Amino acid sequence: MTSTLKFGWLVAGFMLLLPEVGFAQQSGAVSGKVTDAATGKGLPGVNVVIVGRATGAATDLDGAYRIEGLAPGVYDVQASFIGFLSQTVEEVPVAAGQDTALDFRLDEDIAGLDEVVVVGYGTQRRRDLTGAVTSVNAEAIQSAPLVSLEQALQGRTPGVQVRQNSGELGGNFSVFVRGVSSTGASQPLYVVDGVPLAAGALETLNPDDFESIEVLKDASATAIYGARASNGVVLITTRQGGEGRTRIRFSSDIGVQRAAKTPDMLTGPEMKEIFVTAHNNSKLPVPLEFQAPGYPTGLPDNDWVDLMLRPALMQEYSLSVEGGTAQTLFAISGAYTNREGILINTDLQRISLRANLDHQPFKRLKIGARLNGSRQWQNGANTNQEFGSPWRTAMYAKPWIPNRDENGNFAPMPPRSGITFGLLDNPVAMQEREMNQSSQNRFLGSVFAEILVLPELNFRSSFGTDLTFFDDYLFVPVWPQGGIYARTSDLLVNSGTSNQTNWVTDQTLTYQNQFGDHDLTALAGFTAQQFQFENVRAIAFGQTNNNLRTIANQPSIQSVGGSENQWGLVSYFGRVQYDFASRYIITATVRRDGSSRFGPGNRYGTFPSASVGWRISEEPFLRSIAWLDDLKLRASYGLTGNQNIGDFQYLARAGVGKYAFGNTVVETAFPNSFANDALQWETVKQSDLGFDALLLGGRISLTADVYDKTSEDLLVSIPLPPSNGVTNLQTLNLGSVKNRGFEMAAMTTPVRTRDFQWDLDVNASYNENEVADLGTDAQGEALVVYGRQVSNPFRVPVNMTKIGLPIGSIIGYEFDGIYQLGEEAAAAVYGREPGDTRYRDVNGDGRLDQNDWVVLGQPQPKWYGGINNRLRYKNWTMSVLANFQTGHTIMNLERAFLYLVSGNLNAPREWLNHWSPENPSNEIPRPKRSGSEPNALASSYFAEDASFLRINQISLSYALPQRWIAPALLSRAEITLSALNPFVFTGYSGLDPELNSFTSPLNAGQDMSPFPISRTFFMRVNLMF
Amino acid sequence: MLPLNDCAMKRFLFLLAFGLITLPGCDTLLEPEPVGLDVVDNVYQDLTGAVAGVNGVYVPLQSEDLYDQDIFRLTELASDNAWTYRPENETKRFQAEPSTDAVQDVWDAAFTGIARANVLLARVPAIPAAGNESLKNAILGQGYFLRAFYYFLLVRLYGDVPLITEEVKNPNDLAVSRAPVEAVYSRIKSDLEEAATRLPQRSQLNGSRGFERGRVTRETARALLAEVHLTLEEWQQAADAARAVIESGSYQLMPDYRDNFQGRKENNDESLLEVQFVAGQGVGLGSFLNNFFGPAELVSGNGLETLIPTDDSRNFGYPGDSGGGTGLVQAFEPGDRRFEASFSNFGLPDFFNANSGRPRHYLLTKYFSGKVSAEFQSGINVPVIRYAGVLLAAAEALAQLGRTDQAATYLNQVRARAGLQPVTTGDRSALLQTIYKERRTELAFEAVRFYDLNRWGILPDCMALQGITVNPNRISPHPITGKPQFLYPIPIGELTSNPQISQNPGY
Repeated sequence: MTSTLKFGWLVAGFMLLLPEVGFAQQSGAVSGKVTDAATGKGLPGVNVVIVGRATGAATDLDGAYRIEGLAPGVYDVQASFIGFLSQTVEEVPVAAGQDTALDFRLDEDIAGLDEVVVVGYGTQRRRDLTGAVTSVNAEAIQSAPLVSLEQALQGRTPGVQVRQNSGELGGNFSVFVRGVSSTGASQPLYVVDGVPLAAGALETLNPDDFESIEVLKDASATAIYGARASNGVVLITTRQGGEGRTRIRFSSDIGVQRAAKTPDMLTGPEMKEIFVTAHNNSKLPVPLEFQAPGYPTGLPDNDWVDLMLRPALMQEYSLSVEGGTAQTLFAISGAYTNREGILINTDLQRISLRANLDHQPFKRLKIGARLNGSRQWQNGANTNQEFGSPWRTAMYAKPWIPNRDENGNFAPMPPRSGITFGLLDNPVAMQEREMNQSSQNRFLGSVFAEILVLPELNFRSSFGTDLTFFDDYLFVPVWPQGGIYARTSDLLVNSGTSNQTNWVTDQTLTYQNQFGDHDLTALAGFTAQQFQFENVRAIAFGQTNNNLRTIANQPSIQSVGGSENQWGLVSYFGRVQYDFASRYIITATVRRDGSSRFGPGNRYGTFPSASVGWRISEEPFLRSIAWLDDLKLRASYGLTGNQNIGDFQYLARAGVGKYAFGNTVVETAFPNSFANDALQWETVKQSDLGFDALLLGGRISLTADVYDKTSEDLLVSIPLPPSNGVTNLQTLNLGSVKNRGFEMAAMTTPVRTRDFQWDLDVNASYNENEVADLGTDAQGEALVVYGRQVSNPFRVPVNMTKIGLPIGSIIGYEFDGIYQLGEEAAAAVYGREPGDTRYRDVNGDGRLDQNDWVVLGQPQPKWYGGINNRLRYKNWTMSVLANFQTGHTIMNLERAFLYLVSGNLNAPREWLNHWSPENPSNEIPRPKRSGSEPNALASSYFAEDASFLRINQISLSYALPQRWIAPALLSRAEITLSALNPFVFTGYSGLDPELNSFTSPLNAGQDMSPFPISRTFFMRVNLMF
Repeated sequence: MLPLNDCAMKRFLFLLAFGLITLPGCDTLLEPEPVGLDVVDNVYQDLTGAVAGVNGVYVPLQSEDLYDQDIFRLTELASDNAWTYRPENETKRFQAEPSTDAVQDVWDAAFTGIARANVLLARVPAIPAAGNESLKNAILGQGYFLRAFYYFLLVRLYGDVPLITEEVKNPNDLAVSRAPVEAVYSRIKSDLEEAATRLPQRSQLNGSRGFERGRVTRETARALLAEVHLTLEEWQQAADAARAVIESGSYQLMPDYRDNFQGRKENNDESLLEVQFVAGQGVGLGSFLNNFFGPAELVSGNGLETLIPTDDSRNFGYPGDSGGGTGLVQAFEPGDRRFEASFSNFGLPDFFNANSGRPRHYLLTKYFSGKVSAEFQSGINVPVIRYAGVLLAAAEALAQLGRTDQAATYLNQVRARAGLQPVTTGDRSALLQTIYKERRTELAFEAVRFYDLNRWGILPDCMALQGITVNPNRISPHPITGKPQFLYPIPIGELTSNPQISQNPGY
């Protein structure tokens, strides 16, 4: 690690120290005038520089400039001015003793009317778009070392809600485009350079390679991806070189991460008091060790949370070379990431290499390739959310469990650990001694050929593939501590390997022509895609020597398993776009998909969409309005599909296993699911109304949309009544879900002067989610789908999906304070006593059961958005990105779990204020050794408001002046100091309001302490040659 | 640059575009073969598949949800036999809730077995016997037996339960309401009678495929039927069924009581039904009971001592830990060989106070091997129906019928092996008391005590002696015998997924 760090600095330092190359003998000059292309007036204060040299000049009041003292030769000259597009004239000849005349006409930088936007199977100019598409540009993506690219979308894309579920090193995000439209996986489809990825396959990609990200939101934009488009589509385009001089970019990030917030747990002496009280309250004998007052001497007092966390280093380096000629363009890059985790013994490293090539051997033929290889390897943490996660154990482990002995070795559990010490392991030992490694090697790429059959007709054929090879390895060594979650007294090795093959081929014909005012673009295409997945896993155990830790070393095999899966799609699609006089635009698309996911009767689905755009600003009656540069009204309607279910769900599947008679092991087989021949697509009908406007010469850009999105034939995987004897979830088409909302974004430049510019981007989205129908049972009663049963000791669901409510609504009892002295009779009805928690008996039947559960909130926010400020003063840039989400609830199950205070678990320090006859708290119940579960039930007490405003990033950059860097052949050098996640403003009492232990929308909003989220301070150096 | 000939270009394009579209292989893209994944339809094609299918019906027995732990929490812990120092003592206190783990687990496992039996019984009749009628009958017989076995568990623990006896084919028809206890018992009886006509005799278990030792036999079905009739106080039928087993001559008492435990002689002459465990063959095939019952120090430092026999001579302050004069340890008559075969303190010091100078509380040794493999797996079988139990069932039924001499004969066989003097009393009620006591000591920790106390209607009284109050709202008269019985709640997983379900009184 440190050697890489040094290397980074060395490169940077070496570049800065390079001597100036070449010097003048007889000099010449370049001179001319810079004017505003729109008004023809001279522009004062424009910087005109010789690219790559420390030479330049500013224009005078009339816009004139002169650069003198140039050695004879050929130069690239660049004129740049805030608010205008920079212009570079290449290969300007300068002769000795002469003035070369060079004028510039600069265009105002009106945010992207002619900007090219990538849409499915093609591109469009932004002015022609009739669908709802949000673009995120490279600058935003590359402003920080991203854990994963979803992070770049957070707070920047209206209509896209991003939640960082946990701080895992490889990233763990949920992305919902316009609300949760399905009960299963509701993540958008990601397409990298035309290759649709398998779900969740973003983590090894290098964000520095990205040119742009486009998020397709409405049906008009997404329907071209048919059966996988109902959750939105994210198109990622990687960088390609441009004609001209070869450019080299280098960037390095070095930073340190810390836990953004840590839980505050009881110390040993504090917990001992509560432990003793708990025994007394339960009328159980106090363990011998604790019968004397005070904390026993010699008993350790460990702060496990503190021992488990550390400041963690992170570094990233990226180098790219881009350029090309008229015939060939290229971009080559490499990047290396090394990120330690804030949990001890966790880290992640990644290498990513890319080569993008385009070549035009003949006038009408273009071929190209987008090739990316990567390797990522990490030491992870056991992230089992139920039990055994060392991080969770660190919170609830008793402080008096011994950590290390005087020699630094992990100390064994004291003998007879049963009562006082419990069965929990030393979490530090678990985290340090277990090896939890995984790696993936990946090739993602595509090749294509484009033939211009006629000047108007282009044929494109491409073949892409994403090959991923995964390895994972878990090693649980022998160690002397007891404890049930150590799982073994012999060592255990669990090793798996899998590979995933995803290939796709696209054939498209694009016709584009203009007949007077009529502009027509038509696309027809065919695509086939297949995913294959194979894995093999072996679990073996039995060695007593920790050095012998391969599968082959183990005397006993616990299990050897494997599986093989595949699915395919065969599809046809088309799109017609017609544009009259740049004023009236109509787009229609259709896609027909065949999917292996469904039974023979329901294999094909057709997904059409249509949209219209009216550039009302081009109408004569609006043309005269000077401040209105552009105004376009849009409307669209269409169908998209969702096939996000497992393979072969329509079949009645059988499980196999083993039983024994005597010592004869025999094979078993049993039904594992029910058949469902009727299983079919989930279909989303979406309508959208919106407008795009550009005002005041592009200083204000507005976009707003309202949408109505209804999912029908909802694919729901529901738990069946256990009395059916099949414990697997069954996937059914049930009912429908509505998402209605609006989203708006404003990109503004409130201040723009010669030296100072302030850009302010604001966006906000509102989404209302409601289950419109969920089917009925045989008796005609509306079905209710509950979430997973929360683990021991609650064993109740805390999410409910029901007609009229948002998906996965959070439910529980209504907390009603603590039973006080004098309320014995009221408490006794429910088997409680003073000091126990009181819940509202909603139906008043004298018992607390599922009929008393009430809806406590929704897991997904109603409002979310972002605010992005960018202040530029001369060479300084400061930016602040914030995002907010509100209107949702989080069920703090970790807090509930820690409220068990059974004496087995440590408790939050707020428990020092627990109820006692002397301290009649109305919030925190009395501790009990046994029967404390009713005091920790999922209730409104733990259902907290999850609203937050997060400062995602604050950065300060300084671009070194040209005259300093030109001697080093640099065209740009910038140093940035930045803080990621510096502040969160929230009322949530847990570690972070975004934490989300289960990604399924049916189980959303549960915080069971996943990998903690960090705060990062880093320094970045950007160099461009 | 070479301008391409337009015609050649078009031809090439045509091939590329349409050649690819019509590529053979689109069908295979859309109809992939399920690999490594079986489909229910394929399992029951022949008798080989049917044997695998019937083996699958046995599997829930060995899960942690039943005989590998949880059944002991609902039967032995919820009785005067056992207590626990551990916090998960709801069933000891008779405070189980719908969300209590064991309440849910037992329900789930039993219904899993029932669903598997239903599919088996629906599909196997159509499989051609191909000359192997006896195998086909044996498969069906086991299916009937196991379905009855699982329902018998459920009806005694939960009362009315959904009575599902067909293969469920339509996933929209999954919510079934509870059937009355009478209907459940009537199905249990008819299933067991059907099983008895189809199952092989013990001598036919020759070890060939489908006839391995350890499978249930005709006599197992009759023995279970005897227990069913006993529960319903149908004394004559109970006696008939039990005597049919006894008179078959297929089973007999092992000379040494200990041969039934610790894996000494598995599937022996006394064993009518054992839950089978093997160590070292992977998780699931082995049991966790070694740890569950075993002493902390001796089981790789991980013995949990979860269930401890009640002992009048000790009092640690935990709910129901004192026998209150009815401790299990004291229930053994002096000289009863079964005591040492069942319990030991292993010479270890006091668990709760190492300085007290007293020995460890007694711990169960029936399922203790003193040795475990990694993953805590032990290979010791758990006996469920033993010949000794059949003798006691016959004795009880006959005593109830007033045939005390015959009853005493059967009882004394059990006593004799235990090294106890024969009972000579002709007094029916005293004889019954001895039989009750004998069931407790002979079958201690074999997951029957809760059922016995409940069917005798004495559960609340017995528990009161140990200082445990059973909530009277949770006691209801048995619909057939009228005896006051305690029922567990319908578990939360069923309540939240089955709108047709209702809860038991008192919950």
